[in-house]
Order: sequence, then structure tokens, then C-alpha cells
Amino acid sequence: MTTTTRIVRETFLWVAGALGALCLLVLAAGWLLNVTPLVFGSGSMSPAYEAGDLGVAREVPAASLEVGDVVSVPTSDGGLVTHRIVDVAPAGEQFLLTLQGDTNNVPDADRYLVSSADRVDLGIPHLGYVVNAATSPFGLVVATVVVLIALWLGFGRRDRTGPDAPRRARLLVPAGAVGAIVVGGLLGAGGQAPWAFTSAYWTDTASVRTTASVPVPLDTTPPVLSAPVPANNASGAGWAPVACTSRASQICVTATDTGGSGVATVFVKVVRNGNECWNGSVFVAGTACQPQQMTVVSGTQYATTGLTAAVMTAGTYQLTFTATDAAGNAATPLVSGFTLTAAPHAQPGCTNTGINGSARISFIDTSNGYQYRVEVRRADNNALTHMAILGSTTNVGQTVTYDVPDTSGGSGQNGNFNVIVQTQTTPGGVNVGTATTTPVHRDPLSGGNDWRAYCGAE
Amino acid sequence: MAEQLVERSRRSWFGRGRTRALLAVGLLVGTGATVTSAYWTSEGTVVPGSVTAGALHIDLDGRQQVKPENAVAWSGLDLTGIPASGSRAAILNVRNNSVGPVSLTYRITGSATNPGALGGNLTVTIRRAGQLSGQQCTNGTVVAGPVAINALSVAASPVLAPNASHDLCIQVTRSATALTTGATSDVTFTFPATQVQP
Repeated sequence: MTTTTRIVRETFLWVAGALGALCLLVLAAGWLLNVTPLVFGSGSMSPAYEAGDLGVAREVPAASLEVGDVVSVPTSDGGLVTHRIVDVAPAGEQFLLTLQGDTNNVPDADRYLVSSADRVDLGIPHLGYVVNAATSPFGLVVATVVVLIALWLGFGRRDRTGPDAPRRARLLVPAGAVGAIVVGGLLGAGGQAPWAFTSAYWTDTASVRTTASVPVPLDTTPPVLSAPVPANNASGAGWAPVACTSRASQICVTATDTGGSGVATVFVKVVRNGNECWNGSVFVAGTACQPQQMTVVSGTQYATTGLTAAVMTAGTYQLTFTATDAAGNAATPLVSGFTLTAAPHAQPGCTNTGINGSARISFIDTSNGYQYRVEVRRADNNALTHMAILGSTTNVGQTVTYDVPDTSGGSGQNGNFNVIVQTQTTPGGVNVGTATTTPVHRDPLSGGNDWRAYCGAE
Repeated sequence: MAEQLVERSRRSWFGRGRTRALLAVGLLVGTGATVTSAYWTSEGTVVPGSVTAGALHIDLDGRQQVKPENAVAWSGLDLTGIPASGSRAAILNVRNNSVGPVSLTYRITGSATNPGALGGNLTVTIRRAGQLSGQQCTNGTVVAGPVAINALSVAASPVLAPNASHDLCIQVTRSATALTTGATSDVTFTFPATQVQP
């Protein structure tokens, strides 16, 4: 016998013997330890267990199952599924398992009521293919041939020169092989073969979405404008008292649409004194400004943006509101007007300056470009004793001061005087502001002929 | 003589191979048991099958989707402004885009939001291989309906083989009930698919 054939013979015998022993060991382990090899038929448990892996499962009571365990349970159609537990709920003596494949995005549709289950603790890559192949007739033929060769190698005649083997021994080999198949077959038929083919079936979902809506009937009703702020024909001293309070310092109007499509746009055109108009930021000469869009404040009320007290100076205003709804119907324009006079001044203050005192009147300028006329009049007969024009170049927020002359009322006279501050649009023009008065009095300086004006009544 | 001595010593080291040959018979016992249990089982827990590598994908309306799969907007079925007692219908293609020889069965479920205002007044009829006739479906095999969309849950199909597809004609009908104008409802049809064991 050559070395090569000897190596082949030995190797073949070792491999065949090991495989046979493994089969017997697995059978024995199944009976003794309740261990079941599982052939994974599909791959939804990837990457833990791929299709074709051989899983090793051991039967455990359901009470010891936990979320995250991989278990093999019978399905309603008689198969086996092996998936991971995502929920365990007690149900009387049994437990209700919710399973999901690792690569599936939804749990299995069926839930499984079990009192025990095969828990998969171990996977052997690719071995499932081998076990699966053994179930085919071809696999059985291959196994038979392997065993017959092994028996021939182990028991067959070694030496051509030796005596022939007895006829009985030659019959023993095929008889033994057939007997082994029969024994195995009986085991399998009796349900004693502890292996199973399990699916780890895939699931997938897809969905489409569309939006249904109830039709909106054709809208032929135009929107309606009402309730302008400032109200029609309103008047006020300064912008603040008449402006809309829903949105500070703005013009407001209410627009409603009963046609169903809803108010789409609201505009207002603002004209002052018939010769200037608001372009969205300032008043410019002429009346050709574009109407300015109003935005919704709340509910049905709309308001301008960008108006300020500085922009809304004294004058006569005309407002023209327009609106459209989503169906394109235009509202009847709403025309409204109001009048502003200059804002009143706060009470001028009076402070004594210098060691011997000298009455200083001060107040805050409230409008750009306005001038103020200050009059000092005797309290007893209202005779004008002094007058000054102030503030032609001052601006809103600046303090305007006027020192009451010591010579008010002429030499040698003392007593109480009123100081009156009036607003003029132009020097010497019509008074448009509300006058306020501050009392001062005039006393001689002690021990001399000089006179001084002091704050307050004598 | 010397050669025979060497031969004998080797035989005694490895044995003559009889034990291994007998152990190999275990292979026949095991194979016999597997074959029998696979084809003639008393417990029904062993089902023979073939090992399938791949991945399962069901796709709708020609949109290839991979996980996570979000609902795709289906422009084919326009339910905007559906009138009372009116219907709208469209064809939806359901395709098995699985990788590998993976067949599937699928269910069809439906949902319509805002059930009080509109969703509860919508019913659906689904016909496999149906045809559009105006805004209605005709012919084909009725898979579901007419049933309220929110109650739609049916096993829809014969097995869908790899790369095969079904054309489903889906018809949505609004009840005769007068409803608030402008009310809307998001209608979703979901197709959960499960692999069929070969």
C-alpha cells in the first residue's frame, strides 16, 4: 500500500467516523438535554443568525423567557418561526409572546401562546446547509455511500494474499448499513430526531397616503369692511388717544367674509390734508401713494404696520379701506376720516436757579418743527407782561427752557403771574396746542431795588 | 519482514479502522432520522424547506423604498373635493422587489384621519386586476369592500412571486351625508408583507 492511499484511507475514516459520532452525540444530547438543532431557512434574524446557520436551541419554561431572547415557536400553519421576543405577557398558566425579526420593521402579525419554548443560545454558521442537504434523497445516498466506503475500508480485505473473508462477514456490511438507516428512520418517525427546520421569515411594509377633502362651494359673496379705528369723524389731540389699541399706534379695520373662501387681502390708503399721502413709511407730497397692505391682528381685525406718533402729525385724514376674498370678490371700499390736533404738553416745570433764585420754565418738546409761545401775564388783570417764541429748531424729546425775566411786570411791581405755554404750527400762527399755566411771583430782593421772579404763588 | 513489522506497528497505533468505520454508521442513523422526520413526522413541528438568503421588499406605486419606510404620497388617487356620494378611483401597483427568491403574501389595512368630519364617511373597494371606468373600478377580483377605510384589514393576495406585481384598482366612495365644507382627512393604505416559506 502506498503512502498516498494510506493517508487517503486514514483521513476518510477519521472524517466519516467523526461525522457519525457527531450525529450520535447530537441525538443523545437531544434526548438527555432537550437540545434541538435548528436550520435557519431565512434571514430575518441577520446578522445574529443568517439563513443557513444551524442554531442550537434548548427548551425552557416560558416563565424564564425575557424580552430580547431568541425563541423558536410553532406557527399556526404547522411550521416553526424563530424571532426575537419584544414583549412577554402572562396569560393564565401560559405566556403570550410578541416576536419580531431583527431586520423586520414591524413585529409578527401573529402572537404566540406558549408554556415553553426553544430558546436559541448559539448559532453555527453554514452548518444548516449541510443538515438541510441531508434531508434530501441525494443526501441519503451520499451518506450511504460514505458509510459503505468506511465499512469497506475498516473491515474489507486488506491483503490480497490473505485468506478470503467469510461469506457471512461480507453480508454483514450491507445488512448493518440498512439496519442503521432503519433504526434512524424509526427514530425520526417516532419524533425522536431532535432537529427542526425553522423559518426566520421576513416582513416588510409599504404604505401610500393621500388627502381627502370636502369640496368648498363657489364663493360669490364679497367681504365686508367695518369698524375702522380711528372711528369715522373722530378727532383727538395727538395720535395716541385715537389710534388702534389692538396693535399700538396703528390703523385698524374689521373685514369679514361669509362666502366661505375667507378674506385674502386688506389694504388702506391714508391721505392727509388732501395733499399728502402715506407710502408705508412717511407722508409724501401728492395723493398717488399705493394702498398699504394690512395684516391680521386677531380674528377678523386687520391693522397697518409702521405708523408712529411722529408720522401722524396734526391734520385732517382720509382713510380708504379695500379688501378681497380668496375667490377674488372685492369688498365695497370703506371711506373714513378723522382729525388730529397737536398733542397736549405736560405741565411745564418751574425751578429756581442761582443763589437768589430766578424762575426757569421747562417742558418737553413733543413735535418736530413746532414752535412754542410763552406768555407771562399778571394774575390779577391778565395783562401781558412778557412774551417769547421758542423752539423752532428743537426736536421731539428735547427739553425747552425759558427764564422768566426779573423785569416782568415793570419796575416796582410784585405779585403773582401766570406763565402760559402755547403751541404754534408757524411763528405767529394759530395756536393748536392746549395751554397750560405755571404760577410764578415776583418779590423785591431784600435790601435793594432789584426784583426776582420765583416759582410758586406769593 | 521489516516492512510487515512497520505496517503492523502503524496499524496498532491508529487501529485497523474498525471503530471509526462503526462510528461512521452513526451518520446513517442520523441521516435516516433527519430524512424520516422531515417527510414523515408525527408532531408536525418539522417542516422541510430550502434555505433562502435574501431580503424581503414590497413596494408600491413604483417607489423603491428601503427601511425606514415612510408613507409615500400617492398622487394617483386625488380625493380633493370629493362630493357627497361621489367616488374616485386609481390603480396602485404592488410589487415584490425582494432580493433573492423570496415570495410574499400581503395584507391591506387602511386609515382615514378626522373620522368625525370626513374620514368616517369614506369607504373603499379594492379589485385586483380591475380596470378604471371613469371614477370607478370594474372587473377583476374583489379583494376588499366596500368597507369603511378605518375598518379595512384584509389578507389580499395569492402569493406574490419575486419580481411579480399586482395592479390593484382602489375606489374610494364618500357617503351621502352632508359634511362641513373644507374638512380634510389623511387617507393611508398600508401593505404589511410576510415572507412565504418555500
